[in-house]
Amino acid sequence: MRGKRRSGQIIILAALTIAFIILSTTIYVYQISQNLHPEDQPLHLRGFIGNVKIASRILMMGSLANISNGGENGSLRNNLQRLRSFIESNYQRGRCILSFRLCEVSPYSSGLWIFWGTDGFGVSSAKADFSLNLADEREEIITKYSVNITTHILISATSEREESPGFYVIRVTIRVFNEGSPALCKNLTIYYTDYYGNWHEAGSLNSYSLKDYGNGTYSARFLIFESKRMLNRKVKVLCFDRREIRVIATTTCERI
Amino acid sequence: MHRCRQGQIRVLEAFLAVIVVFGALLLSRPIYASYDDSADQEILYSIGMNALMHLDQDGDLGRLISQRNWTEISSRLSILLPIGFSYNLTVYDEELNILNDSPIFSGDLNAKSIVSIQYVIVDRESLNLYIVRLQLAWVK
Repeated sequence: MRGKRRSGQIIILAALTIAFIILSTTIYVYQISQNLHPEDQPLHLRGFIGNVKIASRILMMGSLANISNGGENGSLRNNLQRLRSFIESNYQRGRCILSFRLCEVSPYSSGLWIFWGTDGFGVSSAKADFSLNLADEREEIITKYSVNITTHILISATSEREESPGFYVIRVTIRVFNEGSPALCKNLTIYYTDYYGNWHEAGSLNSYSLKDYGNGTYSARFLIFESKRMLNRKVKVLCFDRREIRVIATTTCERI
Repeated sequence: MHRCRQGQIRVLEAFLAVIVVFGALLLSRPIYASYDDSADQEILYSIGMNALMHLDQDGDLGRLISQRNWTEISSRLSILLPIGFSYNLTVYDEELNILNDSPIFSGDLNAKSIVSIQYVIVDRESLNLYIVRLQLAWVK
């Protein structure tokens, strides 16, 4: 009789246990699924940080293209300041501080290194370090990153005397790099000097041909006539890469 | 008489047990519902953000905005976003004036779960700054 009375209490206890198991399993599964994302930062923050990185990279690319085409050096800083205030004022999830520091480590000055040498090397580069600080009522995230936009070219040239007197074959090899990796260029113009040191565009010659190897290497060949023998003929290459960044390099022809 | 009362108590206890178990099930349901909703939002957000980043990778999106080429932006977005999504894109200039005079959209945004993604764009040539706001939802 006492056993039968207790069986009702056991049903209640069993029901409570089942309820407890259901609730704890649900909470456990929920917590586990929340921890499935290995990154600590919420998705919207990661997205925003990625967006700022791309924006600052594109801005530096555009600024370097402008500066290498004759724009003012100070425009890089001005443009970055404009981007900073634009990003800071349009961030809606809390506080956002974007700071940058233009590279001043030699050979850079004010974030720029533009060197168009006479030994076959030319470079146009911009470099800056960024720090993005995002904060809301719950957390604060600081992200640091660097942006380096560099286009450089390496050129070499040879001058070979043809059998016909006064004719020379000039061969120029150009290699283009973006951030150290071979890259394609948008436009290449080759110039050479005559006996009097005047520059002429090789592309206007009928004999001019340019070969694109498709891997950032280009070779040009052209025939010139010079009645007087010239010892140190110079060749200059003006290159625009796909990002419109201009680089110039000059070299002296090696005589074969 | 006594046995009859015992039977009634059993029935009451059984009802109580059922109520407890169903109560637990009902309590756990909102947790799943909110999880499902936030997971939906996260999927939508990451798909939208990836599409915008992909469009902007070489500065193409900034160029298209500067050219006011809304048709091209719309067709590229339609290609990048998977089938089953509806979107609406609004482009703002630096002073937050709306630039797109014609709507850039696909499908109906009248859905339960909608995300709004804000994205900063730089045009590589003119160095103009823009903001695009992409609203994304599953097609009903």
